[in-house]
Amino acid sequence: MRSKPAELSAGLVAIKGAAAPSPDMPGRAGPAPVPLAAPPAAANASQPSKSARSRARVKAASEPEVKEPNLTPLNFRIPASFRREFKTYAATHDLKLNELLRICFQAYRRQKGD
Amino acid sequence: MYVIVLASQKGGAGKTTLAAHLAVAAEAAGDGPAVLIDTDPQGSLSAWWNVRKAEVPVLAPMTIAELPEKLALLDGAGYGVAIIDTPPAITEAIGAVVVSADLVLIPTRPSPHDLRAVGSTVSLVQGAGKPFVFAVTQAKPNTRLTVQAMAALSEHGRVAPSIVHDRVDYAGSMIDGRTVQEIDPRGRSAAEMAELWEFLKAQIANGTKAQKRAVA
Repeated sequence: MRSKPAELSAGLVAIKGAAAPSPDMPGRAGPAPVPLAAPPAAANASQPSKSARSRARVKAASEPEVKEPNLTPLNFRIPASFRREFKTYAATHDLKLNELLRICFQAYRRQKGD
Repeated sequence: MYVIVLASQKGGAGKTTLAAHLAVAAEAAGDGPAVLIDTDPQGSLSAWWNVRKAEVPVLAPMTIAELPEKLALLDGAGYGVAIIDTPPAITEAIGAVVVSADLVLIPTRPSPHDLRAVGSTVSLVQGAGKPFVFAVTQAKPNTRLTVQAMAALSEHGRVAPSIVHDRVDYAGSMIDGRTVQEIDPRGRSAAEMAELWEFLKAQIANGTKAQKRAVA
């Protein structure tokens, strides 16, 4: 192998702090997996399930959900009774815990006029 | 200029870590100048290079479409080795990178998941008609699984005899843009990288000789 020094090659190599990967390489996340068979609920698209309707109602009343690719944990301590009530409410309304928290936070901010 | 592509469908096998370390090993062995090419959209290699204080190896930004042309320009500029990092996937774009390779290095952890996933990578490389070797990475010392993995991989192709062991200093050294060779030049990890580089160099040289014999 050669060991001679490389010629000055301005434009060929990156500048420190400005290096970036190839922009035309497809992302790591591939296309969404296609289910092998349509789930029974999807067979009648005109009649969404009760839980889906419930979720849609809650979402329609709140801000549009922002898709964030990188979710991080949020840890804090709360009374056991509040935890149980919060989780029960989320499950009853077919919401994820983070969705319910987001809706609550947005409602609070609206109430405060933020 | 010799082009080494690191490819593996499985994520976390050590492609980016090996790319950086092998480029530094090539420079240290006097086989440079080495140039890194980051085609992984995650950009870990670029991020590592951006915080690296040393100027070598260099990193060349380019699109996949530009790859053949830019590699020729880098060759003309006197670079000795190009090491290309790829994302963990099997796509046409990775196939387009692999066709530029003189040697494809497939890092594989000694785990059943990695071994099961290796077939699709091998198919892609064989489809492109490119030589390849395996490197066992993140191996726990003196474990049966590592030996079994090497035996299983050797049924499909050549396996690098220098096993890359699971040590914290590989990740730790990369925090501030360095490598194990620069953190602890006399350490076991640095020795592994030097051995792996020598093995890859020999593989490329053997391949080149075989090609010349075939042409003659």
